[in-house]
Amino acid sequence: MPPSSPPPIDFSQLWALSPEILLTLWGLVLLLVDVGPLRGRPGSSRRKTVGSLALIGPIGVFALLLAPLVAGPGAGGGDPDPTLVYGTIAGDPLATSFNGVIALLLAMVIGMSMAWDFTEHWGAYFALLLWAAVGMMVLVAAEELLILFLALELMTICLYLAAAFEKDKRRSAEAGMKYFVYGSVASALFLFGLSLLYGLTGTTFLDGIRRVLVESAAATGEAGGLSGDLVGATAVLLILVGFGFKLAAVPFHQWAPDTYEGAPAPVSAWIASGSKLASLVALMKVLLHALAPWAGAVGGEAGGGWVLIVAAIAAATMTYGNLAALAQRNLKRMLAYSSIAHAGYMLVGVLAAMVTVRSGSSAAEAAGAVLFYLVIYSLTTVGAFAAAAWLARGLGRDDIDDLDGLGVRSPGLAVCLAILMLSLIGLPPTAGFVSKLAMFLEVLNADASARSTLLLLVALALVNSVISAFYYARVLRALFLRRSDRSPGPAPRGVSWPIVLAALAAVGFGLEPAPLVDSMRSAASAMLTITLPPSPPDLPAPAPVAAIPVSGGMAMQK
Amino acid sequence: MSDNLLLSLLWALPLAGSVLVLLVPGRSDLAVKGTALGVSALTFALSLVAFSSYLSGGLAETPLADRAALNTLTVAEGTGAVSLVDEPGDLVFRGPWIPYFRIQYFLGLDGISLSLVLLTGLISLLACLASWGIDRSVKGYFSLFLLLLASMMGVFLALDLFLFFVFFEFMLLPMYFLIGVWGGARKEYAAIKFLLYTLFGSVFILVAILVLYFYAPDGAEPLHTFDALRLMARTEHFTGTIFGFGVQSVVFALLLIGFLIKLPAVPFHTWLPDAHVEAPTPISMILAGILLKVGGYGLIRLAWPLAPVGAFELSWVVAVLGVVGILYGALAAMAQTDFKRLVAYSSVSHMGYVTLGLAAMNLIDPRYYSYGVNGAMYMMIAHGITSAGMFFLVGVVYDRLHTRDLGQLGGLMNAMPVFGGVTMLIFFGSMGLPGLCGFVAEVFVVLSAFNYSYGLAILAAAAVVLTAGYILWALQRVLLGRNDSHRGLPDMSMREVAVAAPLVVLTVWLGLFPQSVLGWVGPSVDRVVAAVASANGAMPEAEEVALSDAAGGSSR
Amino acid sequence: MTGGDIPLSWFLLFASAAFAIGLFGVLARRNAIAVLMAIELMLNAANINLVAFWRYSDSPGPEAGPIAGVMLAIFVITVAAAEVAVGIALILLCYRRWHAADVDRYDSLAG
Repeated sequence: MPPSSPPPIDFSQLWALSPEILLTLWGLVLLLVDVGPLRGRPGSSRRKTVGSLALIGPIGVFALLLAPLVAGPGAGGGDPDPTLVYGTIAGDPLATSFNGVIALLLAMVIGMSMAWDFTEHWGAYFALLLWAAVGMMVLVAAEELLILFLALELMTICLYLAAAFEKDKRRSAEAGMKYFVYGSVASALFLFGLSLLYGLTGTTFLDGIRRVLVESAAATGEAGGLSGDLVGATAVLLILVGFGFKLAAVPFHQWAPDTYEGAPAPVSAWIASGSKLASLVALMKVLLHALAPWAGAVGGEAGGGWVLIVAAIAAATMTYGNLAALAQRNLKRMLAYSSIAHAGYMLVGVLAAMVTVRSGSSAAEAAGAVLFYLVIYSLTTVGAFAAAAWLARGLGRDDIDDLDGLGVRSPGLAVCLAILMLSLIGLPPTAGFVSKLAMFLEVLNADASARSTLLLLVALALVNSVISAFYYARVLRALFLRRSDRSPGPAPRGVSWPIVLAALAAVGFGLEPAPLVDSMRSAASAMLTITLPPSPPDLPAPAPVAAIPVSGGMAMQK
Repeated sequence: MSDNLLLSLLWALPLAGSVLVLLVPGRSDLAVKGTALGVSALTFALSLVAFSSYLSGGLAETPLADRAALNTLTVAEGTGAVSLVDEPGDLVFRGPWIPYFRIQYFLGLDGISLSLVLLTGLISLLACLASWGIDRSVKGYFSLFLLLLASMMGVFLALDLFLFFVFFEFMLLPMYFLIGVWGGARKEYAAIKFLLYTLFGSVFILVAILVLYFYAPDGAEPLHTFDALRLMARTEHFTGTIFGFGVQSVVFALLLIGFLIKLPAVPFHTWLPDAHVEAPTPISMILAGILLKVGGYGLIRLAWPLAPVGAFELSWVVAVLGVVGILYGALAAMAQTDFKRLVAYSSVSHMGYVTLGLAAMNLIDPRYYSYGVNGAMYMMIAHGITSAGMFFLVGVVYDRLHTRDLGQLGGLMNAMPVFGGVTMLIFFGSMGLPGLCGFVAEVFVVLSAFNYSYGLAILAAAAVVLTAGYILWALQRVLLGRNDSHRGLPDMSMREVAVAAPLVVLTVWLGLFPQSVLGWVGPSVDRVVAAVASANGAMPEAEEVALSDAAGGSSR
Repeated sequence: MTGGDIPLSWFLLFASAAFAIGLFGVLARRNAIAVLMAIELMLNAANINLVAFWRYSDSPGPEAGPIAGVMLAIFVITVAAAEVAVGIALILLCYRRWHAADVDRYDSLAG
């Protein structure tokens, strides 16, 4: 095949990308509807119309995801695990199931957004939410670093803008600005790491990078790890920093509390759930697959790798997040620190998944447990942010104390909120407990050599969960132990159904976790077995650039 | 009734009741209270059914482990098909729950747990009756109350560590709200303190459970089970060290801290007085009568049998903690001016006897150890009855005078003779007056302590004087003297008498006929002791000695 | 090797220097526009890396996979443009609220 003509795209495979395509186009439609037929209508009526239209987006995604199930296998695109667009995007169970989760979260966020008039530009706002979802979906499916970077940028650029959407509020503009500055610096760091990685391996495909690293490790006879490899270490570090910002892991978390507090509640929810979810999945793909040969050892053995860095970040993240959350009075700010803490717990799970992979096992249990935790966390945290939307609508503010007395005024929703808090603490019989325990069980199950280190991390995480009970209990106290004259009034439908849905999920998956655990496991095993498309002959083994002798200060040994 | 149905109903019935209460139509508080009372009574009746089938089936003579071994559960690899064998009528049930981690729905009763199940049923019924005066958010109160009952039952029934932990944690929530919403002036502080202390304790327990699940000595596979009985049968698996400490010592220390916080023992007790003082009367009854027993139950059922070698190594720590608790609790009780706080500290003191009784082991001759554990067990039952009664009586006073300040009470004997008589009897029972229930327990514990350490035993025996001191002084300040402002106070109502009467009867009955309880609790306790003794290499024939002697010894 | 006279390391050192200057600018400058420029510098440093690596690799061209360094760089330029547009919009918004372009002044949120 001549180099100038790459193989044509197989359009039938684009079926697997239909959710992304649908949401992209639907976002455009929303924009046009808002500036066209609805021009001149008052804000609140446009909010209702455009919001209801926006809900069709995630519903359409569900329909597209369910269609193959209803129509039987082979109806949609044929191949159940297609690799799309020259192998840069996967259409595997991981992508499919997370498309569903992202669509669900999107629907909840849209619902919350319809609670009150915080902006005039509803078409643009909802379009941004939808396009951010497209970014998340591609991010989860990306098998290649450029696509991954583009998806990351699509997601965050939409969110920078959405965060600043609350009119008349200084703090919203500030939230967008801070998010933008931190986020784009993180992108730049990530990109620089990416460029170094490309230089070292000659490819940007996750699987290609892995192959090159495995081969060079075999050539040099080293067991892995990064000791002595300055450029490799820099690349890994920069990529970790980039993801650390997106996940709000300590010490790259400073933007999160300000952004979550300042942004409108639905956008904060979207950042805390969807963005974190997609970034963590992408991080796991990069670490567990592409960079796995550089992991290094956990317990005692020689050879430093990124595992030690991740362990340190995890410990610092969960501890700092919890301690800082103790001092918070604002509900969204408290949830921000809580989301930092949860990122720490999840990194412990990522660590365990790594140790499992390193021990030569292809078992996806540990990675599956992390995904399970991630989904449960995302659902509950969106539900909790819905409470902030409720307060913002009724009272124009969202401190924890503003929840006072809701246990009497709206007992049903208050009980649902309480369930969400219990799930975030990790108390039985909620899904938060089961997912946390399942993840920690897998952590301890991972590999005997690393067990004592991991046991320490788990113990730290458990102590942290107790600390977290203190600030989550503030919400319980406000709901049930306090009385107040101020009331945000009855919850609008857009707020109540996300809360109820999240609470139902928290209890339902707490009592019967098996179905979700199963699907997350198959998603995880798809994640760990990504490969380049088998057929195309135009993909020879990538040639590492760094074999070139380099003069100057940089030692490139791989 | 099949084992599954009976055992599951014991916790599921109150759980269903807690939902049912919310669904009671209309605004009638009486209907809500009636429903809750009915559910509590039915639960108690179920525990009596379990009791009768335990006695009639002769189950006291069959070790729990043997009964459990007849109930098997296999989950097919891959397909997940479940096949289980349930031996009927043995009060053990093993079902599937979360197969991934081999988590079972494993319930069972033996003398130790059955006695506490009975106690739970009874005290809850009485506490429900004592809750008649609740007038704020009645539905919420009784719903949480029944939720609490369900989780307490579950704790005593569960034989799978994971299941146990789920119930154990779940107890906190209803308790948090019951104290926090219906409590006294500092309810928020007391509720969060209770929640954090117990959550913190449960982390230790969870870590211990995880260690048991995952620990593997060199060259061996981890056991990978939460089945408490299987872990107990394989204690020899837990040799070696973690972080330089013996694995059994680590497990025991973790479980010990977790359960001592719940018990509570000095120095982990500071949540208790606050929780008691702020909690409404019926909740105090439950807290003292049952929740504290969860700590003791955890020690007897889990800590000692799961890590017998570690328990032996650390027994002196536990014993010293016990004696310190006895003395500190008694001295602190003496210093109180709040009637309820005094009773709360007396609980700390009495729980010290439980700790001492468990710890005071002399494995050269397991008889004495058996005395100690039997004494501890008896103390839990006796204290469950007397402390519930004491808190109830404090509540009776508070309802009438709206004060618990001992300086303002006095002379109640004249105004309320029935109340005075009941108070005398129950407080004497708590003090350990011969012929009443507390006495039997204290004798057993002190007797075994003598064989462990003279010094500790003498201190524990001397504490009896302190106990008598604060109880008599309290009675004097409450009942005796003249106080004209209290003249004309109504005496105990029929409902209040109905709550107090069973407690009075049991206080006397247990004092006079200890064998009526020890006869069926003792064998189970002795088997625990024998297992611990043989794990520590003492007396290969320990089982026979302990079995034959406890029956004789307790009737003396 | 196809690189001509200038060794690869020169490009890499240049890119690293540009990246470091950009990072310093982000951390040290307080003017929002200057911060934006510094971020652009960092992105372009990565671009130089990408192009240099592509040019100096043993097998430049389509054989290295359908997406080579140059294509990466082109996409990054597009992304950078989008980021600038968004960044300027946000700076304008903040300027209207505070009448200042100094990032330290934006401090309604803290704690």
